[in-house]
Amino acid sequence: MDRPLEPRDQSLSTSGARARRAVWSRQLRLWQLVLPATLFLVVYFVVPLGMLFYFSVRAPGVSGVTLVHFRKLLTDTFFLQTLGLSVRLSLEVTAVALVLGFPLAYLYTRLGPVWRLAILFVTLLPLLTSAVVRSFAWIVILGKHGLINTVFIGTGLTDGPVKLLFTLDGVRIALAQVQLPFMLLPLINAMEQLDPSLEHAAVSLGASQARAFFKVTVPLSAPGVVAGAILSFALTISAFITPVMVGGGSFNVMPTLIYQSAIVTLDWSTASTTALILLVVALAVVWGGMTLGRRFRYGPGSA
Amino acid sequence: MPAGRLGGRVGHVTFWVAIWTLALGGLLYLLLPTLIIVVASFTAGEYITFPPQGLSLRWFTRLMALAEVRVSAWRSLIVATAATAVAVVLGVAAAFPLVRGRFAGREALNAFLMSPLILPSLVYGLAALMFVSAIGLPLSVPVLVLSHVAIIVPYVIRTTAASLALLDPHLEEAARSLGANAWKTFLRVILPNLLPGIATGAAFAFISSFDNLTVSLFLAGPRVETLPIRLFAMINFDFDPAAAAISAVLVLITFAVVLLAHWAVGLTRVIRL
Repeated sequence: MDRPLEPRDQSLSTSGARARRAVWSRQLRLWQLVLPATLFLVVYFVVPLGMLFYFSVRAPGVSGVTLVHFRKLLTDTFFLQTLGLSVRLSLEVTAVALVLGFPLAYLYTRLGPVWRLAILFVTLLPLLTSAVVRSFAWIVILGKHGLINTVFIGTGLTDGPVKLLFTLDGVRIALAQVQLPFMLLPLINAMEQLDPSLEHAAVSLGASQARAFFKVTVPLSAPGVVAGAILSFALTISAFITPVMVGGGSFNVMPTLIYQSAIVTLDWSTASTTALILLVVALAVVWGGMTLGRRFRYGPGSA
Repeated sequence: MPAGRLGGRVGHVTFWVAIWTLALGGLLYLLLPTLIIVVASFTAGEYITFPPQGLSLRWFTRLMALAEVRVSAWRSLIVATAATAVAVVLGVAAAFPLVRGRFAGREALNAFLMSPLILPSLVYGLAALMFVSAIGLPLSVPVLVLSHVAIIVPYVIRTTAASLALLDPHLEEAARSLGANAWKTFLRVILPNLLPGIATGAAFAFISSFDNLTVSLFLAGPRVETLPIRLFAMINFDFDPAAAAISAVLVLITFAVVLLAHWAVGLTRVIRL
């Protein structure tokens, strides 16, 4: 599978054929190093996913491939409502993460090393914190006697406690915090590539700071926005722990449906089919986003 | 035009106030849950509340008395250590051909090896459960370890490959031309230079295995309970305030991982890995 040798390697050799053989065998050995990881993932990752696919297209009493599970789910009102809720929730959470993440990423590129380090630390800590711990913290914050209600009642903002825990709003608040780091990192990476003098030029030519920001920095950061939004959407639509813990079973999203079918009702066909529909929706958004991102990068706007 | 300039200045101030308000709000939002759970774990009260009702270490003391917590924490430590060790061996080896090799389909192979990062871990948990049942393996610690390896191996490949791409090939050429053989070059020149990247990848891999709930939930079963499963049950079914003490310890471990990543490669480089 090895391609021809590099010219540099050839020019170094005094005796062509032997050196070529030596380098070729080195390349072969190098190539072999990827085999253990690849074989492991084929057996322990690809084959299991193949089984997921198998369970979704087979039914008892039907020989060969059948789409009966897909047909059953995609004509079921409850399933379609859950799918719709999952998509809407993911879009809303992504939008909140973008609105909070963009200014923070923008400031990151304008601040000194100490601030940058602080921002990165505060970003990476929740990113790596256990989802169970984070959801538990949100339960403590959103609960009837939690932080938010203590502040609201203490300041007289509301008379009684606001119900946030075990509601969709509570899950939105908790999920947006989970997704903010995934939005921030691509934004920071994209905005660091931008030359700040572009914005300065716009200001010195008479644009207000806000106009320069919206007309120069925002459009040029589009690739980062797209990357962050794709990541945030794909992770929100497949989030399980936060909807279960903060939502408390008050509503279903696609991942909770998968878990219920697999573990509670032991219906592996429905679980597999739901999982595949979730994957297709997530991949469609990733693909659509990447197509959009390419247009931003090479489109007429950037020329 | 003094009025216009004043308007411009007001607009300028408004703009920066808006940016700073949203950014500081975002920072507080990111930090709040971690802070709350750590502070709340020191409560002296019967329930976990914020602000805590007095300060004490009672829930940490109770933690010591909970046998299931001790057993599950120990099991999680074993699973995460074993999974990380396997992932480091597989991942470091794979990183070399992915960066240095010249063979057809290298890009595709790289994308394939990264794909566990993209697949929702819940979907993988379900698929792994079907696979394990189909081949008739009983749910056990080794099965759990292998499933964790599948989802954490990309972290090691990625950070090792990133360090390797930055390594100057002249260093190796110099070592080789000074008479070091391939092994010696690898052990004395390449490996020490890659160590920070490998350590960062291993730390991220360890913490994702140690904290994993979604895959373990499918594969663990009642006899192979891990710490995240125990914690999940304590919060959702037992309402045990000692859960906050476990959470505080987990936050501390995460804190250590971030510090390690900063010390090894620097946080500004970590985010580009």
